[in-house]
Amino acid sequence: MRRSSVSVIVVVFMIFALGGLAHGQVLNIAIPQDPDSFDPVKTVAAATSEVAFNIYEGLVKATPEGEVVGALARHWTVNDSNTIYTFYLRDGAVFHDGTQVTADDVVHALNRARDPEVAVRAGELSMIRDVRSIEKGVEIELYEPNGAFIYTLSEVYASIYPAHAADLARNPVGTGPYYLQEWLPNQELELRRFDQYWSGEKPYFEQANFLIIPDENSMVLNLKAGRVNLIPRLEMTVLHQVENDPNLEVLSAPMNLVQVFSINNAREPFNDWRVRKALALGVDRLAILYGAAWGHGTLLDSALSPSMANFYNDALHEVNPYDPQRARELLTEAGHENLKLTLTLPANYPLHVQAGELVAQQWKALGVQVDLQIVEWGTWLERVYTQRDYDVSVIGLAGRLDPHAILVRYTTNNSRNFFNFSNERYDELIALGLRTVGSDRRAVYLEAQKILAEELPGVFVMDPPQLAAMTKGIQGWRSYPTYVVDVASLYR
Amino acid sequence: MDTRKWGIVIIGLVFALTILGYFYTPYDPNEVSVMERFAPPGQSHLLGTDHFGRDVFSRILVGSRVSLAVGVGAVALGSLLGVTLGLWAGFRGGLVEELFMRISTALQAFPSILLALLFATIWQPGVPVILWAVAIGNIPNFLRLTRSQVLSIKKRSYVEAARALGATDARIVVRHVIPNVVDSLLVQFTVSLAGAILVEASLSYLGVGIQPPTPSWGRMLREAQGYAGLAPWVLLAPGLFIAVTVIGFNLLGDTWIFRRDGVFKRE
Amino acid sequence: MKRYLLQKTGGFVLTAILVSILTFFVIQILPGDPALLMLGTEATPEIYARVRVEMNLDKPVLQRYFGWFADFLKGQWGNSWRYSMPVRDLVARAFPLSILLAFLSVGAALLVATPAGMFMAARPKTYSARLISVLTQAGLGLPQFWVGLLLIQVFAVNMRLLPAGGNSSYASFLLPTLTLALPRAAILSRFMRVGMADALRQDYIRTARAKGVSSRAIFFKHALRNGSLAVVTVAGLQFAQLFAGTIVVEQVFGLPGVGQLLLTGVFQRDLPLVQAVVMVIVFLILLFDLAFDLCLGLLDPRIRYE
Repeated sequence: MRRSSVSVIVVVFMIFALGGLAHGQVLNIAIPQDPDSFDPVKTVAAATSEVAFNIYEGLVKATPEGEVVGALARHWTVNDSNTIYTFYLRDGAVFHDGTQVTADDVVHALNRARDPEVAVRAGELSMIRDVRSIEKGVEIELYEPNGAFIYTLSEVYASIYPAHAADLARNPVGTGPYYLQEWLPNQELELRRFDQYWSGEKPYFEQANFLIIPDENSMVLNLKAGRVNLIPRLEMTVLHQVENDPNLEVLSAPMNLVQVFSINNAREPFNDWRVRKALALGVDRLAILYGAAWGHGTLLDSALSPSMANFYNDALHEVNPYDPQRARELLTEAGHENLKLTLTLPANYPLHVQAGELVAQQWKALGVQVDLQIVEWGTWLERVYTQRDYDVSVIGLAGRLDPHAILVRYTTNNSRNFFNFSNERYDELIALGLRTVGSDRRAVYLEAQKILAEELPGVFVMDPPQLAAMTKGIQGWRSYPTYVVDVASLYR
Repeated sequence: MDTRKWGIVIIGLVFALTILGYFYTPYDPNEVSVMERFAPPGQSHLLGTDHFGRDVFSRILVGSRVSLAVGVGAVALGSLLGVTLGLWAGFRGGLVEELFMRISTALQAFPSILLALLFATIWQPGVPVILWAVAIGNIPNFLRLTRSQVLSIKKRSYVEAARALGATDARIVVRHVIPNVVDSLLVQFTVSLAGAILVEASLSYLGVGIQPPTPSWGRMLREAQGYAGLAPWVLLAPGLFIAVTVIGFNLLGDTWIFRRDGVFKRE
Repeated sequence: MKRYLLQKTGGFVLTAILVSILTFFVIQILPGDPALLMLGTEATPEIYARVRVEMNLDKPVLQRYFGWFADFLKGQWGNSWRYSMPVRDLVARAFPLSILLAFLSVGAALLVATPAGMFMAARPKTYSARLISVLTQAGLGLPQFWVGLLLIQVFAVNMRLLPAGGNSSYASFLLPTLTLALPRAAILSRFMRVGMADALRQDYIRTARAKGVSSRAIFFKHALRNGSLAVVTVAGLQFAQLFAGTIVVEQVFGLPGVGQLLLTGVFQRDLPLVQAVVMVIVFLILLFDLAFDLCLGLLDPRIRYE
């Protein structure tokens, strides 16, 4: 009798122990929407890069500090004219399907990424003249020196996958610390730890599920109920629900996103600098920071966020102070005391809508008549972004690792310049910045930022915070200046 | 006092407050004051302030216009169209019935978001757009309800008798059909009202509703969604006004519907 | 009966074509370019032009419509632009869930509403009847997102009894069903009450009573049959509307249903996806219509299918 009950206990214990082993450590992460495609050269959705960061790797990868370090490339060298980069591949790196990473795979992936017939962002790699395989690595030749080049290799589109892979959109094959086990649209993505990862260090979590939960309140409740362990990007409106919960932790970091009231520089009367200046002086950015972001962001003076520490110009705080008095004078000077404008707001971004509602009140105090117009995202993209048929709008421009990628959109002939901003000196500087390598680059971009602050393609507002909310006990969270979640660094 | 009378009292009060909103509000309903955000209800702000520090009571007063216009207007329009088509379909049968039923099915299957987006592109977003979008969404319900009742009523003995005596269709509709369907329709009407007021809120968020800063109860409710734990009054105030208005209309409907209640007795 | 079925089938096809044309052209009229929505704010004009060609957006609208129509009949539903996977897979995964949810919630609503409505009709003057009446009215005024979040707060966060979302177990359907059933039960109980009260006033009830039929038999047999006509009609409408009408609940509970698919499709102007989803909804509603018409006939034998 006694013996049998002991054996029952032992068996039960073993079942539990085995069950524990079989399940391993699981991390549940809540994201609001599905990725679009896991084909690195086709994807554009931020939601994809967030997940894909754990699956794919390039020759180099980004660090939380905004630098790049070798990933599949063990190290690299540059020739004296700064036009030929030689990357030496890591030994023993394998793809998720078990095959070795070869130089031919790298050449294939990069050639596909810069082929305008296939790749959505081929233009961003157009500085490459040739990619060729050499013994133990690849050689990339550029047309001319390019300061942004090494950063572009860390982007999703420069990921490396096997040359024989088919249907990457649904079945990604990369070299990252996790591989995609299953993707159930509108429900979840299941990632499993890749035990042959080249670094040899095993990430703590054996399985990471990205759960799709579109409603931000529901996300928080799921976190509190324990179904979710991590919300990488918490909406500001629900912050107060987690702030005082002893079982939860919120970490805040700059998002490297530039929130800007874009002004249509080509349209009357906004082509008059005094009108733009008046609008800029009439914006109380601090009130917007408190009103829309609960005081959690960083104020911006120009188009780069302070999180771009190496290039950020911090001497511009006094260029556009809040000065409604001076703003009214400027409007009178320009002959637009009774200025009327339409402020177009993208409905799917509560932060921008709230900022718009607040600024409308501030501009009204200047005597400006502001008509608010909330439009759905598709309409916004067509009217504001493509047709540039608007007065003033508000949007967040996503940050990149390299300043060129962020600042080039303000050049006169850039297709993404929906500000219709045009400044000769600025165009020269951006062209110059690309050719410059080394420490002189910084000076070029400092001046470029100064021009944007003074000439006002729009009014720069803030870099909203990235708020990561997690269950207490989850350690190792790392914020990146790009849109990613680094699962491998997390542990409990 | 009889509970039925409460309907009149409540609706009367709601309309009185709406009219009051045209002449007087304690504060400018759109005046933003971030430093005063989420002030609790009290002496200076009767129902507290919202996430921008705007006076909730003032916004309730002004917002009732939109909510009542959309709620009552859209459902009235939808029911008028739906009932007319339903009567016609049920009475005439044949091809007409088939056609109307098909249109009603098409409307049911057609995503209402698409309809609302379409309207917003053709016209400026505002009360008329929402009114039509919600009204059209309500047509199938009224159409089907009316038709199914007509189908049943027109076979009843007294209606067949009336027809045999040479009564015209119009007469049968007015004398026999309408009195019989009106109860169900009134229930549908009051039920749809609540839906319409709430739908207006979702449309605002799709970018096709009332444009801010103009308040409406539905919009206030949606905006308050995230702040329930922090400042319950921003959610409760519009929620309460919507609920009370809906109950008011329901009670008003009840006074008519159950005027002959209690006929059934146990023996 | 044969003619009736023939007429119905004709109507079937016509409605389906009508809806497909409507959906297709509305998406054309809407501002918001599918290619642009796919590419976002970072694309260059060259790639934009190429993606338009890939998506066939450079062809005339009519040609595209007929192309789509022919492919659809052949069963080639294409790939979703947003999810880059076959539309058929997406549809096949989403519909069973939504139909189940619709079935559960209308079923639950009927289960509660029928007795509640009958009780209110039979004993209108009692306090319990008045209490039920006020409760159902309150059930109507509550916004759905609010009810859903409250249920999660209570049952998942505070009591830790039920899952906060997902569809991994049967238990996870409980809260979404409850959220959807609540306002529907409120509506149905009111229709039940009115229907019963109306039926009890009819001549044949008086006749039956005069003949000495017991009041129990009158109430549960004769009156119920006639009094539930409106309830059945409305429950049918609710069921059909739920095929795609659960967007809020899907968002709150993180369920991969049809509503979510349709919403994303519309916002991304994902034409192949929206068209396919709408066509399946039409098909379901039409099937349901047919079944419903036949049911109506069973309930009320006086409705005949001439």
